[in-house]
Amino acid sequence: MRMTWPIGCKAVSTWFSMNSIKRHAGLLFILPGLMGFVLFYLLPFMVSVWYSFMSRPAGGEFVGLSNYIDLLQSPAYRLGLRNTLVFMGLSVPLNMILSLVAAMLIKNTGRFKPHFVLIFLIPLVIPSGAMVFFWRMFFSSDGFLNNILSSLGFEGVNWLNSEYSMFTLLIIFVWKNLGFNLVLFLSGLSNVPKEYYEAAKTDGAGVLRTTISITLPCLMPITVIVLLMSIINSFKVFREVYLLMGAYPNHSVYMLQHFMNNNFFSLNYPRLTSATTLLSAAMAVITWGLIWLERKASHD
Amino acid sequence: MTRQGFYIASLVIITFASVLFMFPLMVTFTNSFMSEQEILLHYRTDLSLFDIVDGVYSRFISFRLIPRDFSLFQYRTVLIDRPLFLMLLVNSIRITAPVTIGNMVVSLLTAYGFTCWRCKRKEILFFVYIVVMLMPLQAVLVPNFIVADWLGLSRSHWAIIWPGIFAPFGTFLLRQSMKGIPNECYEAAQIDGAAGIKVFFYIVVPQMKSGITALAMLVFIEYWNVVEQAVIFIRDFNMEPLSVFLSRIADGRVGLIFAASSVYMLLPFVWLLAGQEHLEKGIELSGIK
Amino acid sequence: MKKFFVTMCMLLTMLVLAACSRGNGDPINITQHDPPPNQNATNQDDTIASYQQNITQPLVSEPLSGNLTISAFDSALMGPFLEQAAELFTYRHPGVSITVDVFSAVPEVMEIELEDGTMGHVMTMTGGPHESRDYINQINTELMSGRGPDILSLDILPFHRYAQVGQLANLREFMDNDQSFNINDYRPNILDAISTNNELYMFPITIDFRYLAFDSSLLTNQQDTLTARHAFTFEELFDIARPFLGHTRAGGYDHRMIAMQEMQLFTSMLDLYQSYFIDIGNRRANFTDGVFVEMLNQIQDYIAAGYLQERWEENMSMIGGTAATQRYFYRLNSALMLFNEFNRDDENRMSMDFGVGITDDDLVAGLLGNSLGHVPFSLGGRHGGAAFGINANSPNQELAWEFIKFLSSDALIEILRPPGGIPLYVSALEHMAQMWATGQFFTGANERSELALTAVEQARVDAYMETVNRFMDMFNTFNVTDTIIRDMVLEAVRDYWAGDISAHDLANRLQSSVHLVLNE
Repeated sequence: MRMTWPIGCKAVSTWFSMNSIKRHAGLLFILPGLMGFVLFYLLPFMVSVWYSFMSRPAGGEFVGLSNYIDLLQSPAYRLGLRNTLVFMGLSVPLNMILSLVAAMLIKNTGRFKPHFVLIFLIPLVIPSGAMVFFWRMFFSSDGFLNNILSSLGFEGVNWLNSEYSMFTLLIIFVWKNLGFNLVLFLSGLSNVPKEYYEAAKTDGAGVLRTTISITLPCLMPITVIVLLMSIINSFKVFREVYLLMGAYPNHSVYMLQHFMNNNFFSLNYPRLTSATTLLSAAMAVITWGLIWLERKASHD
Repeated sequence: MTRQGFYIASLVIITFASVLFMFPLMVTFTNSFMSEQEILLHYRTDLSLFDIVDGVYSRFISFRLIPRDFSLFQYRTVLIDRPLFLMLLVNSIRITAPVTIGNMVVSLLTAYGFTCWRCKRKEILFFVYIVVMLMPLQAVLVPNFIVADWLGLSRSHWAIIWPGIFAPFGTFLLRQSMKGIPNECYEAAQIDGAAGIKVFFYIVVPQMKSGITALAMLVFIEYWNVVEQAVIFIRDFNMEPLSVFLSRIADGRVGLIFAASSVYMLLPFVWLLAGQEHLEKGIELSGIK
Repeated sequence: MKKFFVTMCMLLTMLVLAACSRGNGDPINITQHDPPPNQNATNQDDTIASYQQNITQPLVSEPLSGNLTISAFDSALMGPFLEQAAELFTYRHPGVSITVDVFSAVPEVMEIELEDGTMGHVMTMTGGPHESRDYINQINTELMSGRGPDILSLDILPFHRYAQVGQLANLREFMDNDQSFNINDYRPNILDAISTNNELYMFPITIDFRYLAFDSSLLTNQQDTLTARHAFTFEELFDIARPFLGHTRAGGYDHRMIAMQEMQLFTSMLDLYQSYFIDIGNRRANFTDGVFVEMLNQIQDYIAAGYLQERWEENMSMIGGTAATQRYFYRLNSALMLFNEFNRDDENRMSMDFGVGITDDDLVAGLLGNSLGHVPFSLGGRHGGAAFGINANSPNQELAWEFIKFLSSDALIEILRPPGGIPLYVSALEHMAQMWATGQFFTGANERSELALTAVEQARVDAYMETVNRFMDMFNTFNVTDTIIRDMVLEAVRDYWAGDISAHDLANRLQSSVHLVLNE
């Protein structure tokens, strides 16, 4: 509420100047969405940040930064943080590269395009609960994957409860979210004006050259979205992990979301909100960095 | 490599990838036609006495793609013996339909507003949109509950629908897509003397077809799978959406889960098929302004 | 072609919608299903009518008024119990209204054949881990937003975590300030065992425990040793019985120490030492100081020495046969079976014997304890137990306290299907013993006649009460049920039994996992 107040004020004060009515018509478009956003998202966000400075959710007292200090000293938090960073560092680039490659391949297939897109979108549609059974049968010690491995001569591995669990997560994550990025990249690719490609062809540029000089730069705006959405989706993988491996999985895949979920379960709200506020602060920094990067790229 | 060569190579690679991706779905779909006995037989790996006698010490699970006996037992149990299932399906629709439509409209308006509003501070606001969007669910659940209670919405579907309509992801996505519309379009409109709303309807919206379709699909899918909010806000099981029900039977009736999932997937699948055409058209029309 | 397919699907969807529209005005009312035949549905009018006959001294004199909400997860036993208790309470105090909120999940519907041959539907509520999680999330959200029900039923809620963040009111304050509350009616040592730092955050209404019975025909002349006022460790029991051990198969009998299988022995020992291994109050885990490993080794020794009941998978001859080929010195029986020890001479005896190899020569020994002197007990009822706590957010705490007192005393006497376990309130337990003695417990609640006991029956009740009181005085440790930690331990232990990891590995693994959970 506090952040939008000065903006609103300024808008209102300049509202009555004749010229500016047309200029601030934009505000009219924003207003309904903004009000809903403030009520259902911004307000709860700020309330939860506020709670991170209190000792108890309802009727507590102000304790300053002590919740944060406790948090950083908790071994569970540190473990969760480390694993989350590792997972994001592996999964996001993997997913983006694979989906970009897939988008470019699909673009070339002409009339089969919609069918392929459909196929890759299906994993998104399948509910987590349904696939859990499949994954369990696939990844368990006596599951299908170990079946294949042992018939190839390798020894089976405990995919669900060992250091290899991270690999399991990556597979599940890529399978589920490739379609999402694919749709975004296809949409971005379709916005690259055809004239550029034609110009490149008349200049005699090869496929690789075209890709690097034309496609990638034009994709920058959409890449920013894809990156952010991949980061968000890498959080959402929690649901599958939780259904598959429980609230306390192997130490190699115990992530921040597990930490937060368990603290919610333990009614430890100050811990929970301080963790999420820290997370949001980190996200804000990353986002700002990305936007700066995008602006720089689009100026070139 | 010739163009033809590229075409064939891409096709091969992508087909292979598709088969891999489709594998879980195919298993789910074909196994939904198995009888309960066959499923239990297949997915149990406890060693039985006979295994010990035969000297078999470890058994692996292998997926069977073609059922031995084609049986509609699962579908019959899910759809007919349990009328609740259809009721839950309707609840899911009751949540997803308003959210999808509402979100499309609100996001479109807001994104356009961001595009044409000229104010120095607007980027800060947009930044706030992004940061809030990234907040994980557990933290905002309690304040959301408080707000919903204050508005008198708790214990109803509206506690999920209203936040869904105003979800910031849509604004973010559409605004980024709008950046792709070159300035010449706006200038051309201005020369013709069109004002804000006309520009919106005649220039912007047609260009955004692919973006809007993509958004609608993604929002629909996300709310078709909603679980956490539904659990908190909806207490009466008669109003539960199907996603919650499925999240609970994952450990229970193994014999039914394939058919239940198949039916659950049917509607989004159909939606996907229907939206395909628009998506395709939107992609094809990219060059024409 | 595609358009056609899509249109058909849309039509199908609309058909589905249309078909279901009638279902929405007619939600399934779970209280109207036929109860399973062996559960008595107490008729509301009968209960109140009989209550009028048995009216006792009111607990408080001033008229009570207000609104209460009470929430429970278990819809099988606790839910109906609370609903009936609420009816009785509001009948007595017309100014009070109580809302009982039981967790609602989509029930399993199964077709069964009814007595008249037609097919009927039976709905059962599932109580699996996902439902538990959902219920806890619901309650937690309400509590964290400053609301929540006035009274919480322990069921599956992690009360110890709630207490750690101060979400539950300290009941000692109510107990101290309430003139009509006499703590001696409620076994003070048990309440002390549940308290931490002299603060009591939940009030139990029923108790459960396991007691030892021994076969006096096998362990001849040991009665005095075994019925001394003492809690026995497993080692002590086996020391006493070892001279009598014979593995002869002659006559077809194979003597075993105790009617327990390996996993049962393990869980029993884990229960005995739980407060030591998992120190919830101090957020510490104590698996790696040697006691745990020694316990495991001890169990292995007992197994190797053949003290335990065989697992039937291993002994093929037991399949199809009965356990009559084995006789056991000791048995560990549930508290509900204790009365059976006192009416073996009754020819019209009705009992609830669910043990292996119970003989008519069984006598009561004592309780199980550990080498540290702990004698643990647990709460009655399903899941975590039948206990109640008052929400610290609640504006009606005094009224809530009145209702909790009612639940623990009069409700257990008047309502015939208490939520499992034996009552903590002494008069209620005595009343229940009288019902067992006269057989009225099993016959049904609809005719409630005066409890007129013959001299023989009264003697049985007295003997039973004497033993129970002796036991109750011995309890000094309460095992907090933390389902997360418990599941974690059992799953890790499974790997140990399968031979995948050694005892030391198990100890280390448990130490790090439990430590993580306690210090999150």
